[in-house]
Amino acid sequence: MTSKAPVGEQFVSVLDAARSGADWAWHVLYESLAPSVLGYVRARGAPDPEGVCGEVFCQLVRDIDRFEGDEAGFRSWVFVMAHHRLLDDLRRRSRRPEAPADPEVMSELEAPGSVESDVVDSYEAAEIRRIIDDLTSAQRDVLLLRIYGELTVEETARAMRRRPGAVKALQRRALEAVRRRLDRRNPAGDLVSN
Amino acid sequence: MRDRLTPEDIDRILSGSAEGDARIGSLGSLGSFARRVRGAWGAAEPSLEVRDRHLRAMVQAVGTGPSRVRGPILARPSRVRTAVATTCFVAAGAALAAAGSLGPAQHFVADTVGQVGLDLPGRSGEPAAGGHDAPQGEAGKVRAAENRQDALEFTDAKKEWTACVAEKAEANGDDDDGFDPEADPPEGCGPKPGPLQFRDDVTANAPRTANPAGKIPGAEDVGEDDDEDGPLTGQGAEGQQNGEGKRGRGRQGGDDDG
Repeated sequence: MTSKAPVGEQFVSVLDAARSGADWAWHVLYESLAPSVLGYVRARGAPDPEGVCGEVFCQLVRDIDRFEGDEAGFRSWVFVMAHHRLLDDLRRRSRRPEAPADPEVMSELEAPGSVESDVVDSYEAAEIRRIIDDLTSAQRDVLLLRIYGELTVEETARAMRRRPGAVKALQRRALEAVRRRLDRRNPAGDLVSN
Repeated sequence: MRDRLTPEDIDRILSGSAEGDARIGSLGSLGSFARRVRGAWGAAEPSLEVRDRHLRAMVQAVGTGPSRVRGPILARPSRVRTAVATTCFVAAGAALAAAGSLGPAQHFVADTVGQVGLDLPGRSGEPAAGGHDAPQGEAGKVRAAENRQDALEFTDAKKEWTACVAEKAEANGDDDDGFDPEADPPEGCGPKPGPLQFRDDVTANAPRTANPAGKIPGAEDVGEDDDEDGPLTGQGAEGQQNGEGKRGRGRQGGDDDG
């Protein structure tokens, strides 16, 4: 389970301190968001999830003065950044093929000594990964941004540069596909959505 | 039986709050879907090594990022910042010009500042930096040294005056955008220093030259009543308003068409 450690009431003061260059404030912001960001880029198949995560936080440092809003808006902003960074990384790597992503991710996940690992049994985890990977790219983005980033429909739409209506349609179709796979139902007439 | 997946159901499923919900439970395994997704990729906590690496990179970015504002000068309102930046620019240019170190720009600068009585090496029409009779370079070196001293004294005085104006402005809470070099200086700072004040010639109006015969070809006498803010003092530079206003702080993302 990813760590959700919102800064809470102290967010404004932490943000101001971060803008002033206080290292402790950056530590707080990093700890509150890094697990989710890292989880998202891993789930999204980044070949170097930690590298992408690091780039996201460095960009965050450089652009912090451009942000205006509350903590929820800040989280959304960071995930928009993470999503775009991820796409850039995937695009760049597709032009220069490297080692397959999945084995590297798997080896990281299965490294011994992961004391705080929250992995469900390997079979179910592999099944979930297969289900997610079988979705279309857009469906995968919607589900993962909403799950890891905890973005609203509108925030997800902005991140993906789509209309909210399109995001709603994507998430509905994605969950229907997931449900069919999980429950192994006959798709014809089993689900009717609003 | 037809199962319906409402938008509210979807929101609860994706937020992870649907687990155990009887309503969602009727829709199969979706109730625990969010938790299982997060678990499928293992512990997402960065390792200590990765965390340290990321934090070190962030600290470095803090120190070098363009948005980092450090130091009392840069933290002051834009009007003050403009005044200080302009003075530094003027001081640097004056010192370089006095030393004859402006390279190709030396002729231009020497010609233009000559109109306000400052005589710098490199003016157009001069046969050599050393002047008329003196050995090549010697008189010019002397003159350059004297000019350099004058320029330094002038820039020091200008800096002090500018700092005084800035402090008065800050004390008065006057932080409106833009710096008006033509505005009357606040009380207590005195008149704006001009380059001619630092000339120790008997005839202050005459341009200093190693040529005892007087005028440099092409030069014009400039009286003290003329505008002291010749190009050297930055009429062009001080007149350039630093267009920096409030930083844009727009929110990331496009239009909210939700």
